[in-house]
Amino acid sequence: MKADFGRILSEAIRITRTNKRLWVFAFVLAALGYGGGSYSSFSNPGDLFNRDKEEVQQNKYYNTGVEKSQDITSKFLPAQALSATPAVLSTTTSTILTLLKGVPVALVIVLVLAALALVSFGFAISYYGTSWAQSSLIRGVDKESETPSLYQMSDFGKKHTGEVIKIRLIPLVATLLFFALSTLIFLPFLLIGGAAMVIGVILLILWFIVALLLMLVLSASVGLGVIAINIEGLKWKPALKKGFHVFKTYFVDVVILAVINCCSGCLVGIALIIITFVLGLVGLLTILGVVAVPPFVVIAGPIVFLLVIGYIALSALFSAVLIVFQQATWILLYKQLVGDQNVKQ
Amino acid sequence: MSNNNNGQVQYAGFWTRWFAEFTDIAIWWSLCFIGVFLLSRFGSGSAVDFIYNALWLAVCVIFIFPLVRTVIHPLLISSLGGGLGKLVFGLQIVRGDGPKLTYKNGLFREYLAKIASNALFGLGYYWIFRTEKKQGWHDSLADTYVVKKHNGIITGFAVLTIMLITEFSLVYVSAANFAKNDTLKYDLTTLVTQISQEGADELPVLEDVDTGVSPVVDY
Repeated sequence: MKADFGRILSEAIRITRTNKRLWVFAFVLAALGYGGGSYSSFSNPGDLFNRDKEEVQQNKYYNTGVEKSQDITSKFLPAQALSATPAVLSTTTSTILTLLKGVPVALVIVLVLAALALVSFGFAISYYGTSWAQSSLIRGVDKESETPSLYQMSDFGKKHTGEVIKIRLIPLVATLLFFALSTLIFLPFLLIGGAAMVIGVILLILWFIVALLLMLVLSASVGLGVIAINIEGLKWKPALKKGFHVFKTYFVDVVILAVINCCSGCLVGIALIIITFVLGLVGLLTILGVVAVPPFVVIAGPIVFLLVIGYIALSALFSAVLIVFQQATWILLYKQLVGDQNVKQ
Repeated sequence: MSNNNNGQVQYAGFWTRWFAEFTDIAIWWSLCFIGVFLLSRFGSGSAVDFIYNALWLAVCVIFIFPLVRTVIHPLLISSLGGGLGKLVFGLQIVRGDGPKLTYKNGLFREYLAKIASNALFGLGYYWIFRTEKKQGWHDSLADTYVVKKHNGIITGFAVLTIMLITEFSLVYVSAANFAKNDTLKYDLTTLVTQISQEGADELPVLEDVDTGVSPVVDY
């Protein structure tokens, strides 16, 4: 073990605490669903309850709407016309199914094309955005003693985004390839059935385990490769090789840091659960207060609103801090391992 | 860019920029309101017409307009120095090292750097108040400044007022058109009635029922 984890952790905490500029990039990463996770996948524990309630409400309105529409119908239309309703409908409006069948092809084509274009744009922005923000963040941590401005970090990040995108595509392509290969190899076993299927399932499990290990190696190499791109200015291929080399040479150090970062993520998760519990309790008490004393709603409304806002803000903040801290630990580890040229390729 | 009496560049403050953005959104949204008006006036002869035309409008509002804006907005920024709202308010987005942004700069500023500013309930915009050059986080990330090209406050507010009045008028007229359309009301009411009944497919069709009345509704 070569790394000094005590120094790495204390330095990472100092960098996270004193360089709040770096949080800006962490906010982008959190908003685009990179790492941290609790911000992007924010879910209010009351969502399920509220959704059910909304559905009930919607059904209520819907039913009321139907009832009202029936009232209107019976009030304004002659009985003869009402009895002819199905017949009229068959010629004027038809059922929903008929309506759907009759949707113009052009509309469907435009809908599909426009949706595809928007989704592609969103995916591109998200992929470019995370690569850019990660590069900028690495630059900020690497040169934190020079206190670079947001623009200097951002500009540097932009210059290396292309290479980062290329290297980050490798695990994505590998995953797709894995699923394609799995289907091609094991589908015949499963289709044959009987003993072949049992053998197929066992092989599939082994294949999954091997693939998982390979993916872990690849992900670690890519993660270290991204740092290599931004710190040493390498292209994606040499960076990947270097990342793999560092991982192979200092396997124990990398695994230990991964476990430490996993623990830090868990700590933040626990903190968020406690916050959720406390804020939820306050919210519940507020609602109970409204039930007991209805005029209290004037104060309770803003309180609940502030609780929700506070929860979202705290989640975002915690995620951002976690992202900066974790990135800082990886960069410091990389610099400790590679900085004195101990790694020979 | 215009300078004040001392020859210094005048940076645009938060509220001017907010109203410029609001005007920009109002201008783009007017397309939707025009669509609703056209739907109410010409596109709702029957329930079928109404539903298909409403679908077209929804596709336009949800997918087409945002796509068009995504392409056009950075183009306006790179060619004219700002979106429509900023132009009418006399504001211009400039780079720290040059007068105008490229299309790529505009795209980056609007769709990537603004993610940072919008995070945490728009905390990044608060920096417009805090910094000397009135830069939000997105400005800092893209190295841009919003400057006052000329005093366009009066023009800006006039355009904003006209847009809002036009949009409210369009909504009012559209609502009146829908309220007057008895055929549509009847068709939709009967459609809802039919959908609410179980086994809509089993409902008798025209051939099965001798109703004794013409399928054409006569009020």
